[in-house]
Amino acid sequence: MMAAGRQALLEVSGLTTVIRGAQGAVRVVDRVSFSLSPGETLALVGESGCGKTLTALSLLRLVDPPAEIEGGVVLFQGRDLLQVSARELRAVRGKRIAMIFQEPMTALNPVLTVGEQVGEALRLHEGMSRRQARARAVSLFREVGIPDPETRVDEYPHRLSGGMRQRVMIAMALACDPLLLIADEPTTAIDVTVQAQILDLLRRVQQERGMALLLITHDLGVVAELAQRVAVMYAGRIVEEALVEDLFAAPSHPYTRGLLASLPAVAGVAGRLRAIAGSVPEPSAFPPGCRFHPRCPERMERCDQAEPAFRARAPSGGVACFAREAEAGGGAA
Amino acid sequence: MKTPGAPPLLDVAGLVKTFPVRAGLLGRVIGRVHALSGVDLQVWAGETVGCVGESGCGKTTLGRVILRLIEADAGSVRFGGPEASDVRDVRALDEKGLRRLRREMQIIFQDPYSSLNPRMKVADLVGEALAVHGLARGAERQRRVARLLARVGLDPSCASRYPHEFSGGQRQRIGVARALALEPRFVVCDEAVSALDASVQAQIVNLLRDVQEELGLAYLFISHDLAVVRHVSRRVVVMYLGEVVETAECAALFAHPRHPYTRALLSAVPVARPGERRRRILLAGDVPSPLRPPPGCRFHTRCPFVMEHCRSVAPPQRETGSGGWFRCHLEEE
Repeated sequence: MMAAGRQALLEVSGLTTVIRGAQGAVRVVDRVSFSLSPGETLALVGESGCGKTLTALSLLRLVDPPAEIEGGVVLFQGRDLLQVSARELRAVRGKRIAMIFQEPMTALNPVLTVGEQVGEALRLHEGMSRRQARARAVSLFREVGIPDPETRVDEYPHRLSGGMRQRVMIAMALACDPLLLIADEPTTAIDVTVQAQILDLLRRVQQERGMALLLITHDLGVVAELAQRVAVMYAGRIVEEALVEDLFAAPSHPYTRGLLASLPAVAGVAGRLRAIAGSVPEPSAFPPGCRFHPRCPERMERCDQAEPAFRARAPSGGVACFAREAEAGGGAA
Repeated sequence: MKTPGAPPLLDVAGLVKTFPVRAGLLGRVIGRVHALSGVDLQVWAGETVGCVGESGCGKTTLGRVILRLIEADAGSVRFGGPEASDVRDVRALDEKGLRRLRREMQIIFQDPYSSLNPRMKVADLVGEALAVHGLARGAERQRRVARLLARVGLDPSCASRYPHEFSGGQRQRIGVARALALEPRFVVCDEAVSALDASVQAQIVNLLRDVQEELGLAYLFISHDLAVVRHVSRRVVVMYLGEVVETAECAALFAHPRHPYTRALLSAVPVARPGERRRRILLAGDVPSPLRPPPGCRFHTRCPFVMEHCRSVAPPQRETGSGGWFRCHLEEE
C-alpha cells in the first residue's frame, strides 16, 4: 500500500487495539495497515464504532484501559512510535504530529485564554518566552483567519463561537509546524456554512505548509473535497483502500458500494434510497469471518467462516473481499 | 406558495416566539432570544415540506410551537380540513381540543437514545398513546402494537424488550411506530435521521416515505442536512435567524436558489464527487446571536452582496415564477 517511489512519512502495519471486557478481548482495531507520504491527505472513513478514532488515538498511544494496544508497528520518520520511550513520544506529540478533535469546546481549557493555550506548546516544545509565544500566537491566529487576532488571543474559549474555537484548535495544532496533522471529524459539530470555511482553511494551510493530513470522518462529502487517498473501515478493519477518484467512480468492496449508494445525493430525487440492510454491529457482537457478511448482498459460502485477506491492487490500494477475489480469477492468491 | 384546489392542512402565519434570558439571584430578564420572528408556512395534506437552516435559525422551535409543546407569543396556527368546520385555531384550543389535536399531529425527535423512556418496554412506549386516548386496551392494544412494529420493520417479539437493547436505527423505528400509533395526518420530523449512520439513515428515510404513501401523511421535515431534505421534500423553506428567507418547490430551490443565504448554504455542502470544484460562496463569520439579531435584513452582516439600505431596512418579499418567494433587496440580475 505504500505510495510508490516516495518515502513514507508514516507507515502503519498490523496495528491492533483491543478492548478487554467480561467476555474477553475484542479487537476493535484489527491489524490496520496504511501509509502516508509527506504532504499527502489520507481519509480514514467509516460509520460510528468502526474504530477509526481509536486507530488515530492508537498511533499516538493515547488509548486508556479497557482499551489497549496489542500489537503492530507505527513507523513515523523511521521510528516505531509504539516502542519509543515516553519522553521521545512526548517530543513527537504536539510537535511533529498534531491532532484536532470534533468538539473544540471540550478540547480547550476553559480557564486559560486561547492565546495562553496556543503558547503552551510553543513554550514547551520550542522553549519560547511568554512574550515570544504570545506574538507567535497572534501570527498563527492571523494565518487561520481569526479577525482581530491581537484582541482575540486574550479571550477565553467560551467567548468564541464554534467556528472560531475550531480555528483556535487549528492554530494550536499548527504552532510547532507539524509534519502530520490528524483531524478527527474536524467539521462534524459545525454549521455547514462555517464547515465550508474550515475545510477551505485546512486545505490552504496544508498546501502552504506541505503538511500530511490524516482525516478521520464519516462524511463522504468531506472525503471527496479534501482527500487524495481513502481507507474505508468497517468493524475494526480496513476493507478497502483506493485513490479518491477511483473509490467514488468504481468502489470495490460491497460495503463501500452500499455506503455510496445509500447517499441521498446519488440516488434519483424521487426514488427510494438503496439502504444497507441491518446495522453496524457492536464490538461485542462482531461476526466471524468477514465482519460485513451478515449485511452483504454478495455473501458467499465461505464468508462467514474465513476472513478475506487484504489484496493489494495496482497502482494503489486494495480490497478485502472473497467476491472480488472470485471475480479476479478464482482466488488469485 | 400555492397548491391549487384544497386549502392547506396546516397554515401558520406571523408566528413569533421569544425566550427570556435570565440572570442573577432574582432571575431578572436580561434579554430575549428571538427564535421566531413572523414565520409563515403552509403544509398541504400528504406532502413533505423541508425546513432547513443552521443552528439558531428557529427551525426546532417552529416544530414545537406548531404542536404547542411550547406556546407562541403571537401569530396563528390553523390546522385541519378540508371541511371548514374541521379547521381549528391551534393556539386557542383548550385541554380537550389539544388532546384531540395530538391524535392528528405527532413528532419524531432527533435522538433515539434520549427520547424513549428507558424504563418502559417497547409495547408500552408504542401503546402508550393508545392507552392515553382510550383507543384500545388489552388484547386489542397488543394486536395493534404488534401491527405497528411489523409496519416499521421490527419483529413483533420486540414488544417485551427495553429501548437499550436496540441499535440507534431500531430505536428510531420505535420512535416512528410511536408517532404512527394514533394514525396522525401530520408529523413533525425534527432532525429525525440526523443522528444515524449513513447506511441506517437510508433505511429510515425509506420507511418514512413508505408510511407516508400508505397513510397519506404530511411531514414537516426539519433538518440541517440538505441532501436528505432535497431527497424527501416537495417544497422547502429556508430559515435564517428566526425568519423564512426563501421558500420554493424543492427542485426549483436547488436548481435556482434566489436568496444569497440559500445560495451560500447550498454551495457550502460538500458533495461526494471528487474533483468537482464548484464556485463556493464563502460567507464571512458565524451566524449572529439570536439574542441580538441584526437590524434591517438579518443576513446583512454575512451577505456578500450587502448594500447600504440592507443594514437598516427589512427586505421586501419577492414572488418567484414558480410560486415561491424570497426576501431580499437585491434587484434581479
